[in-house]
Amino acid sequence: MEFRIQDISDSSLAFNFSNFIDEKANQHINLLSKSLTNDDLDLLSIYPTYTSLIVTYNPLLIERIEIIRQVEKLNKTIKSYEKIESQILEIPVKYGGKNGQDLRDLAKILSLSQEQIINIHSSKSYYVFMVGFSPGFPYLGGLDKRLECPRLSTPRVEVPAGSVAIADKQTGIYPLKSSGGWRIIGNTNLKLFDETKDSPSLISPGMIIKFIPL
Amino acid sequence: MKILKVINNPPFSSIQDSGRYGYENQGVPNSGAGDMLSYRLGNLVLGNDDVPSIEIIHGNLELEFYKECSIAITGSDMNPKINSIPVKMWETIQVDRGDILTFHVSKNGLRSYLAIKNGFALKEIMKSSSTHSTFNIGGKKLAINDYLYCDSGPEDLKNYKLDVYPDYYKFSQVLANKKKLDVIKGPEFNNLSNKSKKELFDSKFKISNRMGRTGVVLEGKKIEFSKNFRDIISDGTSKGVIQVPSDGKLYVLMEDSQRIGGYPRIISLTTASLNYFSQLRPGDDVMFNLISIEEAHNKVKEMEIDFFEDNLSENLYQREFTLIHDEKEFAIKLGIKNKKNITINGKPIKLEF
Repeated sequence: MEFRIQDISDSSLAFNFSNFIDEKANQHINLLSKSLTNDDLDLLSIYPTYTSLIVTYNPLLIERIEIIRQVEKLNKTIKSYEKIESQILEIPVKYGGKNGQDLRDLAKILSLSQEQIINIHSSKSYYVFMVGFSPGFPYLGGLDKRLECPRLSTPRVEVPAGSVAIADKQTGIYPLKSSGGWRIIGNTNLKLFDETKDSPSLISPGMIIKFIPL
Repeated sequence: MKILKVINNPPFSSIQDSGRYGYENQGVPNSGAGDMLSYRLGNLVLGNDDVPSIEIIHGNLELEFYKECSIAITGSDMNPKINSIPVKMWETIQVDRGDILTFHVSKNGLRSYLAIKNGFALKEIMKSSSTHSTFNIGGKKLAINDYLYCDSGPEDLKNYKLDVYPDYYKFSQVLANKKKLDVIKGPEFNNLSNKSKKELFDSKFKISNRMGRTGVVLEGKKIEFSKNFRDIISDGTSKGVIQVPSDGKLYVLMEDSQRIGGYPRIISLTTASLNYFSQLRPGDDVMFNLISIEEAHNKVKEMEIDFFEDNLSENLYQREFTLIHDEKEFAIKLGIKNKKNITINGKPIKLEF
């Protein structure tokens, strides 16, 4: 796949593969990001976003041009639109009531019953484009059009950890207690972020997520 | 071993090292020292590798030492004193058991660093001891009655001082005289309106009160984009990146900020200039100077040569003062541990107990 190079800073490079959010381009970026994760190059970090591969480096340890050459080389070895087996993660969710305090209002806004929302939300598979915003927070694709809704007009100061929520064309899970303006429809007791583990986030880019109603 | 106790509740003091890298794909910010140059120079003085130090923001920290040890204070000048006597910065200080070290309000910058021989010992979280200021991840925020620990290691009885160090007091004066901070173009720079492209480098911006380790909001000319520019898809960010949301203000991302952002990234502070920027306080003015990525990398290399090659001298005398006795002045220099290398008016003397 073709890419363009952007300098985010003097120690951070973006290899940009697409002008729009595209699962196939993101899968390609994800593969590239995993194949670059050997210690051949002295890099600080490598991570995917919706449309770019980001590489951070210390200019004292490695020349910028060397990173570009290596990414160009690796990019050629990855076939475009290669079929990837994604790891599937099932997330048990208690929908509605105390666990999903906005579900009742959302049903009114969307002219659906609470059961219909639960059925639509839990019948889909969601692709993880990237993880960010807060530690372990996944940016998921694939929300059913019938569930698209505006954000809360006033964001909550405190959203409980494990909240499953919807806003605009997206759905997501808050791994840690934080502030937020998405509409909460349920909660999972799965620990999504454990800082003491080698790999603290349960969810990583490229995974498929399924919500299982309890 | 227990090395010191925190005696007061400081505004914001925390343990920092060079930061947490390799976890951005899991949404973990980098953290680490804001002024990496001063942080690294503190460890250089003590012959340490990259080991955890204390970052003191806004001053007002009081510590009591439980054991004798070597420390170094770098960064902004917070009028540090041991047992009420001022101590020098940018060089080894020998501390004794029971000594009280105090940092007051900063005279010239925002952040000061306290390095200690062999570093503070702390459980690493994701390969770093750095503290994130808002997520409860890693490191330690210092609070009253906290104890800090230290690994014992080889003691070097020599004292060192830096020949060259960043002078933040002078820097704040040159800033007033329109000294500019280097930036490079960001991915969305070309989407700025022609007027904003010019004003970005011709006008002053002021550090607002909305600032911390996650980011700094600047006040100044409203930044606008060309008419056909639309929102960007959330993409990678880095510390030093300057974003512009729809309010037209400059938002500088700092060490605790997210590595993914949804606002246009118009410019970014270079590695070298970010050290200086991190020392600015609310009300300080800043101007930007556009350079190329190649120049930015050259400046990093220059900084490395200036500050980290042959920059240490042995410091034979730790304390110098003048005594007046019978209307005569005696210039006294005390060496390490106050017992050897004592001179009076330049002549070495021998003390026998």
